Formats: sequence, C-alpha cells, structure tokens
Amino acid sequence: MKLMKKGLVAGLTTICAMSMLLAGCGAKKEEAAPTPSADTKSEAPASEAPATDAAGVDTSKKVELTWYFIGNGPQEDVGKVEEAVNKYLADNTKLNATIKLNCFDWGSYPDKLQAMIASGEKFDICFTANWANDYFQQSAKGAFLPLNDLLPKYAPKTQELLGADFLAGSQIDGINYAIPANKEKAHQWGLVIRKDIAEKYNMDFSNVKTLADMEPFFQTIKEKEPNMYAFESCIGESAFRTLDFDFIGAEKTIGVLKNDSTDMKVFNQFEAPETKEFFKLMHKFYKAGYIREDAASVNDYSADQKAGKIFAAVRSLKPGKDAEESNAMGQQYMQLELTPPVMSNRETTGSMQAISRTSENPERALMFLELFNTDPALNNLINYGIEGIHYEKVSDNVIKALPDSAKYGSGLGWMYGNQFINYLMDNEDPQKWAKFEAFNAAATPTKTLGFVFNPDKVKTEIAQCASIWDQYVAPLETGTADPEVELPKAIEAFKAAGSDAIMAEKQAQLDAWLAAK
Amino acid sequence: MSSQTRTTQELGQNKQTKVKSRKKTGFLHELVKNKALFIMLLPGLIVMAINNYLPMFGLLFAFRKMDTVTKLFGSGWNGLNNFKYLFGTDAAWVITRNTIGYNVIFILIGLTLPVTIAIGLNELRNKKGAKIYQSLFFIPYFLSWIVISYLAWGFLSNEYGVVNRFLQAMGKERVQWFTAPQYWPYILVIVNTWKWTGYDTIVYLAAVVGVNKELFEAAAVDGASRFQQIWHITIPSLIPLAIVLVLIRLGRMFYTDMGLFFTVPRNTGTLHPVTNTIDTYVYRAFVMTGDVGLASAAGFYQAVLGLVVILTFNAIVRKYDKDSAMI
Repeated sequence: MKLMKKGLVAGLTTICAMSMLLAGCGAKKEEAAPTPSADTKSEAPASEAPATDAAGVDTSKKVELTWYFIGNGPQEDVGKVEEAVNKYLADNTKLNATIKLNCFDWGSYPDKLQAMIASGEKFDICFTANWANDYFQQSAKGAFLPLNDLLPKYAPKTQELLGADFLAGSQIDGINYAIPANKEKAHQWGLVIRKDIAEKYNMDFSNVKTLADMEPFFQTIKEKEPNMYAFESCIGESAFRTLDFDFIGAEKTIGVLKNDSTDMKVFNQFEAPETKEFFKLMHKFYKAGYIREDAASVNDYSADQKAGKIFAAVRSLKPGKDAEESNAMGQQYMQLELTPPVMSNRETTGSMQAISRTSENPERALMFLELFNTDPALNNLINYGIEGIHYEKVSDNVIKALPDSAKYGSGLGWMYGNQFINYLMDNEDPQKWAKFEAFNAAATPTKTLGFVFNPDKVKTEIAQCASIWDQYVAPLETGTADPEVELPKAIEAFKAAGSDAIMAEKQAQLDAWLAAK
Repeated sequence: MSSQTRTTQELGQNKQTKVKSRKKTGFLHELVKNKALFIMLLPGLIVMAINNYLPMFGLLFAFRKMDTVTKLFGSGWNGLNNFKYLFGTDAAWVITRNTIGYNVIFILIGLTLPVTIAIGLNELRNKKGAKIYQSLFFIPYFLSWIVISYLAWGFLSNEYGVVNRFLQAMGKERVQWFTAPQYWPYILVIVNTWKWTGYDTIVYLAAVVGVNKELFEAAAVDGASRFQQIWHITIPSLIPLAIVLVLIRLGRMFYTDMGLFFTVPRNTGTLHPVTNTIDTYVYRAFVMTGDVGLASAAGFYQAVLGLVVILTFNAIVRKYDKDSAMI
C-alpha cells in the first residue's frame, strides 16, 4: 500500500508535468505555424477584401505594430506623438495600423533586445546594427525575417532609394535581414569641440592633424576652466576609435585590418605599434589631468555633456555633425576631422531596422517602414514631434525648436530611416543633404566591403575575449592605465582566451571570400 | 503489483497490532479524510510543479546547440561543448574562487553576527529600545539592489562621494574606488552584511525568544551567571535553526546575487577580477552571444555542485546530530 501510494503520487506528478509540457509546446507550435511566409498570406484574401492597397495586401484588419529602437530612453511626450502618428496613419494612409514607439537608452538597448529575442517575445520592428543588437549574430540565429522577397512587394520605393549597392553591402550571404537607414554612407573620425569656449580663448585648430596636436588646447582648458573635462574619454566611446581599424565582425573582437591594407593579413590590434603609441598618448593626457580621474568607470557621458562640462570629444563625423551635436546637447559645437572618410561595413550595417521573426504582421510592418521612408510628414512627426508643440516652421523645410522640444525629439534622424527627407533645424546648413551626397561620393570603400564574418566556430573564444576586453581595454583606452605595464598583460590574457584562434578563423573566411570574389 | 502483495503480506504478519491502522492509513483514505487539507495543498503543489519541476526540462538546453531562436530546444546535440566555455580559460578558476570565497565569508558572517546581535537585543532591558534597534537593522533588507547601488555610488564616487570628500577634508588623496579592485572584497562584504544582518537577526531573535524560560530560571537558581546561561542554554538551543539556515545557504553556494556583484560595482571592467562570479560571467556571455545553451550549462554546473555540497554537509551533520539533519 505504501509503495502504491508512492507510485501513485509519482505517476500523477509525471502525468501532470508531461501534460503541462505538452500544452506548453503545443501553444508554441501554434504560434509558430502562422508565421508568415508572406506569399501565402498575401495571395488568398486579397480579391475579396474590401480594403486592399496597391501591394495587394489585405489591410482590412486593424493591427498594432510595435517598434523598438535605441536612443536616450523613453521621452516625456512620446504618448502625444504616438497619438498624432496614429491619427495621421488613420486619416492619410490605408495602412489601418497603429504604432507603438518604444525607446530604450543606449546602454540597456542591446541587453534588453538580446533577452526579448532569446525569449521569443512578440514585436514587429527593431533597430539593429553592427554595434548594438548585433545584426550578424541575431540574423544568424534567425531572429529577423529575410526581406529579399518582401522588399519589392511592400517597400519598393525604399529599395530604390537605397540603391542595389548599398543594400547588397548589408546582406549576409545574399540575404537582407534589415533595411539600412538612408543617411551618410561613410564614416570619418574626429572631434566635436565647444565653439564658444574655443572662441573665448582664440583657439586656432588649423594645424591640428592628429590627437596629439590638441595638447596645448587641453592645457589651456585645464588651467582656465577648472570645472570642465578637457577631453572626454569613456569606455567604448573613447578616442581608440580614431585609429580606425577595419573591424571584421563585432567591434569587441580581436583581429583587424587596416583600411588601406594591401596584403589583407588580419592582425591583433593590441600588438600594433600605433595602438601602443595611442595608449601612451592617452596615459600622458590622463596624467596631465585632461581626462577625468574616474574615466575607466564612466560609460555614459551625456549628462556631463549636457551640463556643459565637456570641451572636446571624439565622434563619428559627417557633414553637419556639429549642428546635430549642438541640437542634441544644447551647446554650440564645431567639428574637426582627424581621419579621411571611408565607406566600410560599419556604415552599410551601421543603422538598420529589422522585422522580427515573431511579428504577426510583417507585411504591414514593412509597409509602415516604406511610408516612414517616403512620407516627409510622417517621418518628421516621429523625428521632431508635433508642429506647434515641439517645433515651429520657419520655412517649408526648416524648423525652429520650441521650448517643449526637450520633451520630444532626440536628433536621431540617422537611426530611424531615410534622413534625406528630415526637416532641417534653423541652425543647420541648408545645403546639408547636398553635402551628404558629396561626402558619400568622396569616401573610399574598404576592400572588405560586403564581407561578413561568421563567428560560429569561435563563439566560445569570442565570448571569453569579450570579458577580457571589459577588464583590460577600458583602463587602457581611457588613459587610466600605463600601457607599459598593462598592455603586455592584456595581450597575454587575450592569447589565453583564444585570440589567435579568432584571428585564424577570420583570416580563413576572409581569404575564402577574397578568392570567391 | 507484486510489491503491493508483498506489502500486504508484511502488514499481514503484524496483523495483531496493525490491523486497525492498516485500513486507515491508505492513501485514498487519507485523501478522503483530509480532503479539505489536500484541496488547500493543491494550489501550492501546482505552483511548485510549474515553477520548480517543469523548468527542469530546461536542463536539456545545457547539452543542445542553441544557434537559432526559431526552435524551442535548439538545433541538435552539442555534447559538452557548452561547458567548454566555462572551463576554457583560467576565468573558470577566478569565478569559482570568487563565488565560493564570498559565499563562505557570507555564511560565516551570517552565522555569527546575527546570533550575537539577536542575543544582545534579547538581553536589553529596555524593550522599546530593542524594538527600535531591530527596526533599524531591518530597514536595509527592504531596499532593492538598485537603491543600494546608488547609495554605494553616493559614498564612493570620485568627486562627490562622501568617502572621498572626507578623505580630502582630512588632507588625503582621493581614491578611485571604482577602478581599485583591491578594496572591493571588503566593500562587497560590508554591503552584503549591511543588507542581510537585520533579516537574519529577526530569524534568530524569534528562536531566542522561544527558548523555554524555565531553563533560565532553573539555571539562575543553580547560580549560573548571565554569560553562562547564554553559553549553555541560548546558543545550544539555536543550533538546529543555525544548521538549517546554513544548509539552505550551502545549497546556494555556487550562486551569487547579481544585484551585489553586478549592479553595485556598476559592471566596471577593472573590478572583474574580484567581482566576477559564475552568475555575472554567464550573464555577460549571454548578453554577448545570446546563447541560452552557455547559460544553461553554467546553471547545470551550479546546481550539481550545490547538490553535492548540501548532501555532504547534511551527511556530516547527521553523523553528529541526527535530529538536526534535513534528510
């Protein structure tokens, strides 16, 4: 009897657990099944549906689309803007959808999206790039819908706008998993400098060619403006980027090329002589007091910058970056270029919107992005907020910020999508978009443009190196640590974590790609 | 079936004595007799099945390839490759050392300090004062790690931190707390003790108050001093509780609080040698690779080691004091 009792309990528990497991699995499958293969969905009901749009998709059912993107976190007036967007969509388009805008801040966006994607949460559109919400990794895992077949159907104008070359640059093995933003197509490293302060001390930057040339100016700031940090240096956003290595794959991995490489040999960026020189320079700046004492533990500078405490900082430059920075941070900035413009994988996959695999209405999501990229009214509504509340028009394409603009509008035109239909702020160059075109034309493409590294085989090593990176590179790149002591330790730690294996794998894939080309 | 027969036979041998109880102890009989109690038990059982047993199927993740998010259980077996990541570098040694080291210190402090405070509070004549102290100790327990991390930041930040301002006022150099790993073992232990001592004190205090008063009276009659009473009566009567608490903590020996080890040091890279534990290491690996398999492998490793430790300690306890052992 006693044993029977035990058996009964065990049996019941097992049955109970199994049935719950099956129920769980069953539900998952049902969700997964209707995940659209697009074609099936668009064919069937199109003929009899009352509201069909040009693409022939049934839009009779009202749907809500959720959009996750990166920025300064949720904004106060986002609800108002959402309402206005939805009203606009209802009155002026046949989309029959509402949109939910979700913004996470720079630091937490990648982590949150990683968790959402891994847990299969339902959403429609998300921002992805090579530097946040890793485009390559998530695409390889199947987080995003392949768009090659959908684009001509639901977003033909966007496709035309971006051009075949640029779209091809963002492909992984010939497949587009996301739509790049239409913006500048090259990058150039340099400084943004507080214009008012520079004028106050009559600074002339015409002879500045490298970061080292900035020293006398930093010295002036240190002596005369004790409340300012002469040179912003913070983790991950430091001046290390001005060395402009061609990263193959994600940014925090070992193994890079030079942009003008002739032999195409992947090397360890920490063993390169210029890296050591750079770390030495940063350490010199640090000891001289141009860099804040706690730099190695700072990973968000925006609060200090908004408070006007930063004199100079390294940024990715483009025409009109000075005005964009001024609008975003509330001070007057000028820009100073340090490296030549280069078109690399960094740009083709630098800012994109992807459709989630879990989206229930991928066609509608794409149609929304098409509208966003082609309809200036909708585009600017999401970019700058509501006319009369957040901004007022000076002329057709030029606007002026109103006091309430602090509650909405983030200077994120480059992140959302087609930037060429953005309004210009009254302090921006009226020729900005023409200069963008010229900038794009002047850039040199790197030889690895279009090459995509598949990290699968060395995943373990990459994860191990990433944790070494956090520990050793942060103090070095911010100048806190002495490179004579710490750099050899870092190199050794990376070697132990498998950096050589990563480099070998990169070289092998690169060679194969070059041979195929 | 045979087992049932045997049981019946066994019971039959004791017919004389057990004949009555045999009929009354059947499971179904129990079920009918105490149906109200069982119905009350049901929600708890269901929650436990869903929360504690169902996820055990997730242990399979540790041995699966998780290259894709499109399939629930990944795309094929991966052998022990997910574990390779944990033990691939000397990081395995550092994180295991940190995890065990901190937990041993936390257990030792969690055993001695709250017991001392509980006994002290119990000895206080001024009962109102005792209540106030008790509440003051207890407050940190209710603060979330986010709040505590900002408190720590308020104390330790470079320019405006309380500690650095104090040091400057004393004419000393500022310390870069957040990039100085040598201080963090102490900081973490202090913060953890500050947060948990109040809670543990309450648990022990309840036991101290529950000790039979007659024992103390008898001891007093025999001329035992206050200290002798504590040593020979209070502390021995706290031992069973202490053992249970220690056993519970030993089971979580390979787990650490993400709040303490990740949020409070603000995930600063320079501090990793002393703040990196199995949990934080795995979290960072997950954020970096998005691979559930790696995280599951670490979870599996933690659970197995935890089980081994708890069984070992339990066996030791049972050898010396059978009643205090859990199983």
